[in-house]
This record gives sequence, structure tokens and C-alpha cells, in this order.
Amino acid sequence: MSRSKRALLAIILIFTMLVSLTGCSKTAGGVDGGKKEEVTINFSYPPYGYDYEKEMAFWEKHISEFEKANPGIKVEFTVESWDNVYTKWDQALETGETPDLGYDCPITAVDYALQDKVLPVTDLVEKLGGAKAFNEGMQAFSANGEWYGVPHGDASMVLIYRKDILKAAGYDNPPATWDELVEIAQATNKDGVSGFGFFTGDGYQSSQVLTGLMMAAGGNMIDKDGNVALDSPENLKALELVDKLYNQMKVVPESTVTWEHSDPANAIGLGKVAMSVTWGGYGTLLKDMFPEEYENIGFAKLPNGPSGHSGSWSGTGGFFIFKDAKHPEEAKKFVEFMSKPELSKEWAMISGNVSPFVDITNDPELTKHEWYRAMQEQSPTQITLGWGHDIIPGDYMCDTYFAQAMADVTVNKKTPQEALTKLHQMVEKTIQEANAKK
Amino acid sequence: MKIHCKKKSNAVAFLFMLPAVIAVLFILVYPIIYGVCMGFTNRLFSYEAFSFIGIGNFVDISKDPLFFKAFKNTLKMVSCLVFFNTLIGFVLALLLNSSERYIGFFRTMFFMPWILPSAVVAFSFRWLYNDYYGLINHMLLRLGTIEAAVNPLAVENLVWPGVVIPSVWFSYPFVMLVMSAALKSIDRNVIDAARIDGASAWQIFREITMPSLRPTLVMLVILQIIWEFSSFDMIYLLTRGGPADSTLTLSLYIFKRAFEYKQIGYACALATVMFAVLSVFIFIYFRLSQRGDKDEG
Repeated sequence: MSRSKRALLAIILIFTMLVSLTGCSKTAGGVDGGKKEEVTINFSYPPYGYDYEKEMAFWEKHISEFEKANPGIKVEFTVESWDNVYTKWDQALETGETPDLGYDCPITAVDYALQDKVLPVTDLVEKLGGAKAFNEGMQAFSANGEWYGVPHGDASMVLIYRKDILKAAGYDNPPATWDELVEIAQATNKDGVSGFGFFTGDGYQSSQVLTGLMMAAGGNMIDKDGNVALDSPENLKALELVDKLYNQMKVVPESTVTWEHSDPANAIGLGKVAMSVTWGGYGTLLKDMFPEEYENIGFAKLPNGPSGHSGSWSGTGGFFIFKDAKHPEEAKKFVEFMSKPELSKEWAMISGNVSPFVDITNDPELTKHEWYRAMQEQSPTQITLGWGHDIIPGDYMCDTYFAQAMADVTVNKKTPQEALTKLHQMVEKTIQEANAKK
Repeated sequence: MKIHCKKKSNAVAFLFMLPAVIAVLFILVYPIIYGVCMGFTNRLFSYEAFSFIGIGNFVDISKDPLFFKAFKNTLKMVSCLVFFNTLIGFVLALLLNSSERYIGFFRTMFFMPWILPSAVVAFSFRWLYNDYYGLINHMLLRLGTIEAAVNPLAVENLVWPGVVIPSVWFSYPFVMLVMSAALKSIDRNVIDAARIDGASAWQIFREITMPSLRPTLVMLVILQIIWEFSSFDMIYLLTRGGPADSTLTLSLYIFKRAFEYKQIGYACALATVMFAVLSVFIFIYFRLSQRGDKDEG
């Protein structure tokens, strides 16, 4: 190699090293001259709304207001994908490089808390009015006398249906019980329309539907002594209903095994199914998705099961603070700011969630919407994994087994009892393993 | 003096190589060793406590029906994809092996699928297959070919064609590209001489083209086996292994065990088994490469 080329190579190498060193040494919040040290809160957020543009506009607007009101605190807002947010958080916990703030349902916050990975926020909840300030279902964010999440949006799966299709079959009202559900599904299952569509594959949404059915059947996941109680006559009724609808009556479309996210709303809007189960919050979006059909789309509480009450999965969202958070106090300030009553009302309308605050939840501006009323009515019977008992280690890991149980009955053609026995065994094993690592 | 200069030169060379060696050690070697070691534990994701359980995970794998199902599905997928990719890529390369001006346009068009992200391809086909608003069902219903719409990704009898079609559509361009380059490397004089001697097109293909392409074809097949064996994105985005685990492949099973069931120890043991299987193909690939280099030398 000639001398000039060697010299050029040496210069390039030295330059590269200098640039790398400069990049490595840069830290957030460094002191600069006489300016106050700036703190950046990392907020990791999976989307809890349905209209992405409005949702992002809400967060950006209020984050900006928070930053103006709190000079020196910046919020780095990351929108996660539902497909990988848990993997990302688990990996962050492994490395200790977690965000400051997360946002999700009670099972996540409390399960992390049981592993000592999330900070208690009881002081903040007390500041906001304590337990009595929140709707009943929000208590799921607490465990062992402490709160580990600050509720921000109360959400449940509800019944969504086509009023016109039901009316054409002779039904003015949606089903109020399982028997009525079966009857209406059968009556409307004709002329290219399926009577009832719900998630039936082995994705996590199937788990959400099945747990709601089990709750409505009067079953528990864990009994009051902390033992797995899945293999019960009540929970069996839930799987038997699934078997009846999918395999025997064939009122559920085969393609529901591939359904994800907005497929139920699409199926309802297109008039391909008479009834479905999905998040009530789709009410904020369906008017834009299907403007001509919107008046024909109805929302109602899920039908009561043999227990005499309904049951639904809790999609309630709330803030929680990771234990490895670099700026927990600033994160608490941000949560307090975002929990203001006027913001809660605005968030309810934009996100399609019910306000978690007792004082705001019955606001006429909110309750005039049918989807909101349906979710409000559903709220007291919403559950999360581990229902029947306080959340225990391992509950969080059992999601997949419930989804598998649904697929075992629908696609794998196992009997409901076989599917339930397998579910019970897998959940029991998982909880034992998790508790052994406490 | 000469030895001293050589030693100094070696030391300088080693210093320049050191950052790359450190990177390879940390990014490649350490994770592999760590992963294999984790396979001997009962580690759960996000739980810090775990214990060494010896070959427990590997014993469980030997009794795990889902592992064998995933392995069988992987072999099925690899066979289908390698066969169709090679066939279509090879045929197109032959057809496009011309110096006509318009051929460039067709070559570009046939290459387009490969430049798309796999997620775009997967979601496009999911939309096309949809039984409510998908174009394929709509057209088949209009033509009277089917009586009712069906989503192939939801039906066990149809799911494999449903998966193979977009996967082949996405992957054949690479084979076409490599085979085109290999075709261009065949000496035209040999072919011209054969034509002058009265050889037919089939004779030229059989006696000149195929023997010349054989080494490239073999390497392509081995490479495709390695890639498709560990392929994850298409299956995950199209079916997530469903319906009823009928498209569950080994890589997807490992992912589910690790991130859905949170059983990191077991997932690492599965990954170790997969690594062992793939090592066989990688060994074959390197032996063939070395043989190819020796022949050229």
C-alpha cells in the first residue's frame, strides 16, 4: 500500500474512533453552562384507542402542555405495537433498561409488581381521591394493600350487533342471556350472514373472549385458597357454549380462526355477521368506517350466563412505573397531570374507553353514546387473569393456554372437557413454576 | 531484521482485526454459548431465579408432540419452497436469458417481489385471501368457480398452498437472479460450436447448460434450505402457526415458547436442537464451497 493511502486510512480510522467516542459519551440531561439539568421521562405506550390520529393528537397536545408546565421535564413518548410490547418490556426488565412509565391493564402491572419490577403508586392514587374515586373494576390495579397502577381508561369487550339483521329475524333487542344468544344466532344465520362471530383461533383475543364466558358461567381461575380452579362445571359450560355455536350449530364463520383486532368490527359493518364480541371503543371508529351502516350497529352488555351475570375481559388501561425507572418522581408528576378530570373526559371520547373516575363516568356527554353505555354497564363484571383471587405470580403467563383451549374446541375438535382438563393442567404447572421462583 | 519486521507487521494487522474479532465474539459467539447454556435451565422470562436442570429440557423435547409436528411442518415448508423457488427461478432465468432490449423490463418486473418488505407481502396476501373483502374470493365468486367465500388461511386443507404461494412469490426472484448470472457465465463459444455441430436446443441444455449450472444450483438449494429452515416472518404474519398448529414451524414454535409461554430455558433447548440440525447443512455448504474453490484452482 502506498504511503499516501496508508495516511488516508489512518486518518479515516482516527476520525471514526473520535466520532464513536463522542457518540458514546453523550448522555441525556447533561449539564450545559448555567442551564438547569433536563430530565427525560421514557413513556412506553401500546395504543389503547382506535382512531390513531386522534389518539396521537391527544397525547402530543397534553405532553406538550405538561412540558410547558414543568420546565426541565421532557417526555419521550414511544408508541408500541401490541404484537411485541410484552416481549419488549420483558426484555427491558431482563437488562434493567426499562422505560420510566408503562401503560397497560391490571394483570400486567400487578404481575410485574409481584416480581418486584414495578413501584407502588398508592400515594398517587390517594392524591387522586383513593379507591372510592375509581369505578369498582379499577381495584384490580391493587394487590396486598398497595396500588401498582393508576387507572386511566376503563374498557371491556361488549356485544356488538346489527340491529337491522336482528329485526329482520324478528328480534327488536339484543340477547340478554346465553339462551337468547343461541336462539338469535340460529335465527340470523342465513343468506350469507353468520349468526355470531368471535375470536376462535389461538391468538390472545380468543383468551379474552373465553375468560369472559367463564366469568359469565360463574367459574373462577383461582379459588379463594389460591389453587387453580379451572376444571369446574361452571367453566365447562363456557367451553360447551363455544362448542355448540362453532361445531354443532355452525353459526360462527370458519375464518374467525384468523381474526385479529378489527376483524369483528369489519364483519359487523359489512353485515357478514349478526353479532360479535369486541371492544366497545370501536364505537368511536365505526361511524367513519361504515357511515351508511352506523345507525344499524348496536352495542350492548354481553349476555348473562348461567351465573345470572355477564362477564368480560378487562381492557382497562393505566399507568405504572417500572422499578428501574430513572425518574420515578417526574413520572408520577406526569401521571398526575394526565389524570386531571377534564383530560379524563376528553380521553374517554377519543380513546373509546369509559372514564375510570366515579365522578366523571356518568357525564351525559359521555353516556349519550351507546357504545359508552354498553361498556359502562359491562364494567362491574370485567375480569383479568387470576380472577377469583388476587393476582398471583404466573397468572400473567397463562394467556396462551386459554387461547389454546379455545382453539382446541373450535379447530382441534377436542371435547370441551378434554380442552378444559388440559387448560387446568397447563395453568397449574405454570403457576407452580412461577411461584417456585418467587 | 526481516523477522522483526514481520512480527511487527503481524501485530499491527492483529490490532486492526481486533475490533472485528471482539464484535464477532460478543455479537455471535457469546449469545450462542449463552443460549445453549440456557437450554440446560428452567429459566422463565422476566423471572430472575432459575436452576440448572441438566438435559431435562432435551428429554421433554423428545416427548413433545408439538416439537415433532413443528419439525415435520418445517421440512414440508422447506421442501415446497425450495422446489418451487428453484423451479420458477430457473425457468424464468432461462426465459430471460436473452440480450433483447425489452428483456430488461421483464427482468425488472419479475424481480420486484424481492424488494418488497416481507411484512407488506404477508399483509397484502392476508387481505387478498379475506373471505369478506378479499379480491381473490370476490373474483372466484363472480366467475362462479366457488359457491361461498373461503379464507384459505383458516382451512387446514388450503392453508399450505395459502402460505407457499406468497412465500414463493417473495423468494423466487433471488434464485432467478443467481441463475441468470450463472447462465451468463457459460462460454457462448461452446454453445455456438455445439450449434454448428448440429446440436438441438435440448441437447445443448442437457449437455452444456445443465452441467455448467449444476454447482450453482446445488449451492442455491443448500442456501435455500438453510434460509427457509429458519424462516419466521412469513409464517408468523400469515397464520401464526394456525389453524390448529397445522403451519407451526420450528422457528415459530421456539418464538412461542420463549415469548408467549415465557419458557426461555425450553426455547433455548429447542433452538439448540435447531442449530444442530442446521449445522449439518452449513457443513455440507462449506464442504461444497471448498470443493468448488479447489476445482477452480
